[in-house]
Parts: sequence; C-alpha cells; structure tokens
Amino acid sequence: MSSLFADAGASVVIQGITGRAASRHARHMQDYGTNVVAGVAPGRAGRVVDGIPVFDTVVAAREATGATTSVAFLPTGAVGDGVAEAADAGISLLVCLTEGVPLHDVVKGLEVARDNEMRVVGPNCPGMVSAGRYLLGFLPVEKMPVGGTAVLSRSGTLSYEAVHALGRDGLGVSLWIGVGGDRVKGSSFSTLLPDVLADERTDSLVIIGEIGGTDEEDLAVLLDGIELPVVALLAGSSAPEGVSLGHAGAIVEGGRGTYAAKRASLEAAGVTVVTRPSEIASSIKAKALA
Amino acid sequence: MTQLLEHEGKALLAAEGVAIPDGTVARTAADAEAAAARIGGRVAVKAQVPTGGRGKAGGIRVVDASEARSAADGLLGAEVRGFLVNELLIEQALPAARELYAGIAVEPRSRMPVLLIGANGGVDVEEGAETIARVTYQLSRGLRPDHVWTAAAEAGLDAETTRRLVPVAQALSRVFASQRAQLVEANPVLDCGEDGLIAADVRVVRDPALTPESASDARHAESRELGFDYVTIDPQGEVGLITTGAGASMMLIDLLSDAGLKPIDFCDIRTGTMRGDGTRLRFVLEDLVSRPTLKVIAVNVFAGVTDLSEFVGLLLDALDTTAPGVPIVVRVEGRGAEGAREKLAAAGIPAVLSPEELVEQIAVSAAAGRVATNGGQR
Repeated sequence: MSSLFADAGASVVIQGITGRAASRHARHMQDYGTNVVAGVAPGRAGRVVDGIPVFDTVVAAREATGATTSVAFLPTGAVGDGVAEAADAGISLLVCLTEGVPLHDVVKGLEVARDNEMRVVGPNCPGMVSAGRYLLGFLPVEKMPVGGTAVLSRSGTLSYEAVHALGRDGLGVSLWIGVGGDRVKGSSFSTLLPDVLADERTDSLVIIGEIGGTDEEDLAVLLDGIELPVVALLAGSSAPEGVSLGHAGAIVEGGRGTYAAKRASLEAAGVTVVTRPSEIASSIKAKALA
Repeated sequence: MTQLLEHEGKALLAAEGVAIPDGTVARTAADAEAAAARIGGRVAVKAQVPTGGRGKAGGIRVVDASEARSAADGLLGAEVRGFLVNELLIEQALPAARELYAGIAVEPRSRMPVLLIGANGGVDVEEGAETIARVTYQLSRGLRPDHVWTAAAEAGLDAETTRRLVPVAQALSRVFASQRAQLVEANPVLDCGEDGLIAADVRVVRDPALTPESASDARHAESRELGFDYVTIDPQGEVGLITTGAGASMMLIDLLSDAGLKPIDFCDIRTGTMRGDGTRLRFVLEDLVSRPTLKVIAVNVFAGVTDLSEFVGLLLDALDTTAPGVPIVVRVEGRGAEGAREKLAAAGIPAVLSPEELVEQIAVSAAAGRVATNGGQR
C-alpha cells in the first residue's frame, strides 16, 4: 500500500485533459514533478496538449503509455462512467475532483472500482500531494512547507489554512489528501489511515473534519493503540443541528455526526481536538514530547 | 424540492405494486369533506409538505369522517415545519396489528445501498436504531429476496411477514433506483393481517445533485442563482462576512461565536468561479449594508487557485459602489497575497495575516461601532 502512494505520480493519465481547468492544472502538476504521460478526451485522439498525447479512452491511454494513476477532470454527468472506465482499464488509483456528482453515479463508479481493486480519492476534492514528489489535483503547493505531518481533510479551504499555519509554526507536510466534501466517497479518513501509517516520512497526523457524517467517529475507533500523534481541527461547533435526512439518516448515522459526538469520540481515542489553525502545530509538538 | 410529497411517493410505490391506503388529495376543505365522506369511518387528514416529522409538528390529524372538514380548515394555509400547507391527503385510517419499518439509503461507510428493516416502525423508529437490521447490496445488481430474508431474520420477523415484505422491499429498491434517490422509506408499513402489508407513509428524498435543495431564504435563493451561497444566520448580527470555502467559513463563524461576536451570515463566495466579475461581492455588500445592526465587514479568502490581486481589485470596486460606511477588515492569503495586500494598503484598508488576528480586529471594530451607535454617531 505504501508503494502505491509513493509511486502514484510516476505515470499519470488525465481524464478530460482538453478542458480549460484540466490543461492548466496539468501544467501545474508537471511543474511539481508529476509525470503526466497521457490525456483522455473522447474524439480527440492524436492531439497533443502541452506535449501530452491524447487518447479517446483510458484503456487506449494505458496500453500506449502504461499509465497507472488517473486524475479525472470530468463534467458531473460523466464521472460515474469515467471512474468505471478507469477501473476496467486497470488504473490503480484515481483522483476525482468534480463537485456535484449524482450519488448513484458515485455508488456505481465505486462498485466497479472495488471489483477491480482501484483506489479512489474524491469526488468533490482538491486532490492529493506527496510533498516534493507529485501533485494529483489542484492543492496549493506553491509555498507548501515540507515536513513530517500527514494532513487528511474533508474541507479544501480549511486544510489550506491548516497547512499554512503549520508552515508558519515551523512544521511541514509529508502527505496531504483532500478526501472530499461528500458523504459517499472513494476514500475516508479510515480507509487512508493504513497508507498514512505506512508512509515512512510521516511522523504525525492532522485531521481536518467538520460536522455531519461519521468519518471522524469511524477514524477514532481505529486510532486506539496507535502511537502516531494525531491532532484534529473540527469546524462547525457553532452551527445549529443540521437538517436530518429523516429516519433512515438517523438510523445509518445512529445519533453521531454532531460536533459534540465527534469531539468526544476523537478525544476518547487520544486525539487533541482544536478549533483554530494556530493551535495545530503546538499540539503536535506537545504530543511528540509527551 | 429534494423530498417528494407523501402522495407523490405513494404513487411511485403503488405503481410498483405496493398496497397503500385508500386516499384522495384535497386542496380545499370542501374537497376534503367529500373525500372523507366517500372513505367513511376514521380518516387521516395529512398535510402534504416536503419534510419529515409532520405528525409531531401537528400536520397529521386522525378524525371521524364527519370532522374532516374542520380538520382540513385548520391545516390548509397553516405552516408545518416552515412549509405552507396547500394540499392535504385524506386517507383511510387503518387499524394495524403492528407497524414495521422498511427503507433504503446509501451507507457512506460501505459506499453501498443498504436495506433497513425494523420490526417496530413509526415516528420514533430512529430511537431504536440499534434494532434495525441492515443489509447492503450492489446497486448494479439490485435488491434480491435473499437480502430481505437476511435482514428480516435479523430484525426478528417471522417467515409469513417476511414473505409479504419481500415485494415491498423490492418495490422500494426499484423506486430508489429509478428516482436516483438518496432515501426511500415506507414508515410505517402496517401489518393488516389478512389485508396484507400496507405502506401508510412513504418518503422519497431525491439527490440534491440532481434536484437542488430548497434555499433557506430568499437571499440564499438569489445567491444560488449567482453561483454561490449566502445564508443569513443572525438577522440581528453585527459582523458581515465575505468568505470563501464552506469549511473555512464555518471555522471563522466558530471563532467569532467563541469570542462573543455575532456573525450575520454564512458566505461561501467561491472565488474560484468569479471569473473577474464582482457581482457576487456587490450582492453581499448591498445586503449587509441594508442591515441596521451591521458594525463591521470582514473578508477572509485563502486562495488556492484564484489570483488574490484580481480578487482585491473586484472587492475595492464593489466597496466603491456600495460605500458601506462601516469598518472593513480583510485577510487574504495564498496566490498573489503580497500584491493584494499592497492594493488594500493603498486603499487605506488594513490587512491582517491570520484568521485569529482577523477575529481580534473584528472585535475591536465591532466594539468601536457599538460605542458610535450608542452615541448616535452612525
């Protein structure tokens, strides 16, 4: 598992490469060290975008270039099929950035991903970065400090704040993954924990959570007995109780999902929970000394 | 509206072969009376509003058919959980040996649809959440009878009930798939002995990605049209917020609340999609300025992709147009932040460097504004 995230930038295909945002971000990714070997845009095979050859399908791109990772810049309606296509083509990791993907499309795409053992990060996420190695997506890496802290986040902008504050306070990032803002998504804090633990450069973990869902509670269960210092920045302490999904929502989430529930379960697992970015680095340092 | 009305959901389920109570939609008290007279006996007069918890909010009345007209009069035009009642469902009230629960949702943990079966349905079903059986299945393959048998056994249902529940659950799964819903539930499913299982209430919640969720107020609806979110959280608040990113905006509201300050709004201006147009900024500023309790306007933008220099240019233009007359405090960070801060300084607007400093500065400005207001200076 560690090798997947260590090498994820070695051979990358970009689905939807001819879009305006995709071609711009493809350049940023290359500048950061990501090896973008192919693009996919149906009907555009044979073109070259910034030196990147374009193919009609992921399978054609993979056969020609050996790409193993995909970054998908697809329109909302094309994500479900695009994820399934990449999985069937033998891609090992797909980062899906699109916001507003219909729930059933996500579920169907992830079904095919599971059948083919393809990892998915997203949808509705800013991507992931392995500091100094590769960028998959559009996390702001320009001034990102490099160090030993892994950052997993449900909120893009809040993680920007957290990473910036880490750098200001003398720490840096090893691995930074935006898991995305949707309830149903390819990767959660829990599914990524083994990857974080296996990352040889990581010596601490920061979780950026928010109210709703049970991702923080689910992670807390897994943290029992783990020695890695973990700090969580949680947003939503002042928010009113959200509109419930009704009985089924309450049953599936079982009364969890509130700020209080998240804070309590994380603290019970030994996590330091903070409310402001400036408290993150000092909390990590305090835990590392303890 | 993301949630269908009860009678709409029932029509979908009935089309899949599930029994529902005899009922009629009524839009006037006279229609309600006529429907009740046709049905006879005890009837349920049910407000058709797209939300749960109607019963507890007084939106459902079970009366004799002769009293249906006055019950309808009381409900039509009333508000139930914030929704105006325009329609009623007049329905036969059925005696049942027991009430079951059946629902289908997507379980985030497994990322799969999950069948939920409970032996004790009704309005308090979530209080016994741990007694609800759950069985996940693959969306592409659909819900099979064995899934229902597994769940029903776990919920403690007998074989005869389960046999009758299988088609109900499979009908729910077909509605779930065809509507691309996030939730479909029948609660309660009445066990009416020889008359079989009857779905007494049906809820279908559609995917907000396909059907936009209803806005929380008129201004929110307008902001959605402009491509962002602006939600009033305290009409009597003092701090007007222009911020980007849901998580970071929420955190700033947390910090302000902790400091005893009262934010007016939640704002996710989405700098990434402004495309050089200041319309969103003018919209928010105009609304904030119209509020007599406004003491200070705070801007917080951490730009990953957007060029902050361009954003600040748009902000300064919008401030020129709207002339708020209260202090402005700005914090910008990210791409092009230095240039953006220089532009702000040239315009006489102080820029702070962190969210924490922003909160401190807001507190100072709000306190000064309160003094000014008390002195009649504003």
